[in-house]
Amino acid sequence: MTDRYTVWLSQQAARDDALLSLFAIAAACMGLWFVAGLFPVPIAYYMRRMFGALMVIAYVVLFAVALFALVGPALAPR
Amino acid sequence: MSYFSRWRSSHWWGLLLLLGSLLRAWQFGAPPLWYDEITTAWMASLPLMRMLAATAGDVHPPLFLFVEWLTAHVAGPGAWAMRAWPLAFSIGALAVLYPLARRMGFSERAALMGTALMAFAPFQWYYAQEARMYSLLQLLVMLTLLAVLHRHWPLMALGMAALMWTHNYGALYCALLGAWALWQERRGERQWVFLYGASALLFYIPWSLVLSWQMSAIKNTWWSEPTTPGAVTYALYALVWHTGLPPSLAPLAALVVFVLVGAALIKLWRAPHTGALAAAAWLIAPTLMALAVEAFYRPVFLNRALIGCAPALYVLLAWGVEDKPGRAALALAPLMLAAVVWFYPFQSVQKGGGFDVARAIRAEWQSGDVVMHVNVGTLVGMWADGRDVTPQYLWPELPGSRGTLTPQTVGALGVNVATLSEVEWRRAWLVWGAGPTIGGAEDALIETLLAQYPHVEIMRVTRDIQTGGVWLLTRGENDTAH
Repeated sequence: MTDRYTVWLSQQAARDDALLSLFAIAAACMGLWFVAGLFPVPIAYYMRRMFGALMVIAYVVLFAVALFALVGPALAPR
Repeated sequence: MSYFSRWRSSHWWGLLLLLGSLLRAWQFGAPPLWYDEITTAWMASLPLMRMLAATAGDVHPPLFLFVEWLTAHVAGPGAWAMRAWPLAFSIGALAVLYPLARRMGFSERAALMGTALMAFAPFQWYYAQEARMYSLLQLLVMLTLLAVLHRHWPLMALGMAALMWTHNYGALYCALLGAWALWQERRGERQWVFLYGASALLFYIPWSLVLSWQMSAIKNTWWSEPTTPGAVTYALYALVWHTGLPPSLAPLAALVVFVLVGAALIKLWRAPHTGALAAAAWLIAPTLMALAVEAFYRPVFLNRALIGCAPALYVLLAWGVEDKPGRAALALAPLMLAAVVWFYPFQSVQKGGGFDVARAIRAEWQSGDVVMHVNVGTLVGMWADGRDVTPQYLWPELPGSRGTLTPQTVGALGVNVATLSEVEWRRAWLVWGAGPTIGGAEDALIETLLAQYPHVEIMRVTRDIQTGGVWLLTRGENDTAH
């Protein structure tokens, strides 16, 4: 097959690998959430509150970065 | 449950159905048909027996094409007409999810949240606007499952037969639904499941003979590669977002889906729920069966064919967070809003991204000209907006390409297959478009022809993994065939 095919396969593999990494990150987060729940009540409560806050912050930062990546180039001075 | 809360549920359901229908229908006829859809339109425009012959030479069963054939012969093969049924099937599937989820034992809230997810999933919008069989496949899976849950065996048999005549993945869904029906029945009462399941198989026998031919014909020329864990993970992402988000938002969207999957799994671990377990089996089983087929035949894993599992994913994710609907909505709403803004303009670019061959040729067309396509890609593309430009020829297929139309389908479509030396011509429009599955032999052919004949380059396209161009070849009165 041609280079086009090889390039296409490698692009798909890179995308899939990136998604696997994200899946691992999400699994780790959920694992930590699950483990936090095993602690005695006050500790588990505060750990989960803290963990939830971190997830919200991560969400907002990632969303802002993504929007900037999308809109930024269009706003940049030419 | 009070009358008031039931009244509210039905209104939520109606609102979601309305919004979901609007999102599916918005500009559904506007983007031009692309390669797969044009194949549908072309086949649907043929006389019935030739349509069946063209389908038999391809890779799918003919039920959806038969529906499109009726439509094309009444309303013509335009984008609006060809996408009308997929749109209707998709809206039908959205309407069925709520009663299906309730029948599976999910709460009203989980069923409504699942419906909301389905209404706002760009994956669903895409296949509602795609003139292919996928939204029909999804609807049939859901209706057949509803028949199973209601123990309506004749309807189950009808649904199974329709599934197998719609898509080859239909057989995998039938195996799942049959197993579901057997599992739900007591040992002594399973004879009806066997009887009606067998009758569905009986309906399918005629096409199963064609399928065996199709499987051997495409075994070594199909384009899919062995399935990897990453490909399965991508399917999980694609069943919600598909191409509905800009690449910069995709990682966040993937994280949200994966976290929701995790939440559902943790809840399932803590508080097993029969409906959720069944939904998980519905989600996973077709993929496992596709991987089993891959072990014995060749890779057949296909994201879009998993559309029959998508409703299971939506209702499972909804069930996982039904106790915290506000948080789930806060996580999903910004992404879904971004998808609404991104999807429709991108859809036009994505589907109409091919180069405009027909217009370029028409601008300089002279009587006696011929068009020579090096592969079926541009030939199919030109059927949509340039089939009045004649004569058009297709170069005999060169070795090394994957996923192209078989000679049987090309013959049924009525394509003239010839080389330039077999055709009378003075000026020939050489048209070539090569995606990743097109083999290097075509690159070599283009080089040879351009070296052989005086030519003018009309257009040249090179982007990422696509290449192609249009050249006007000429030859003198005394030139002989090359």
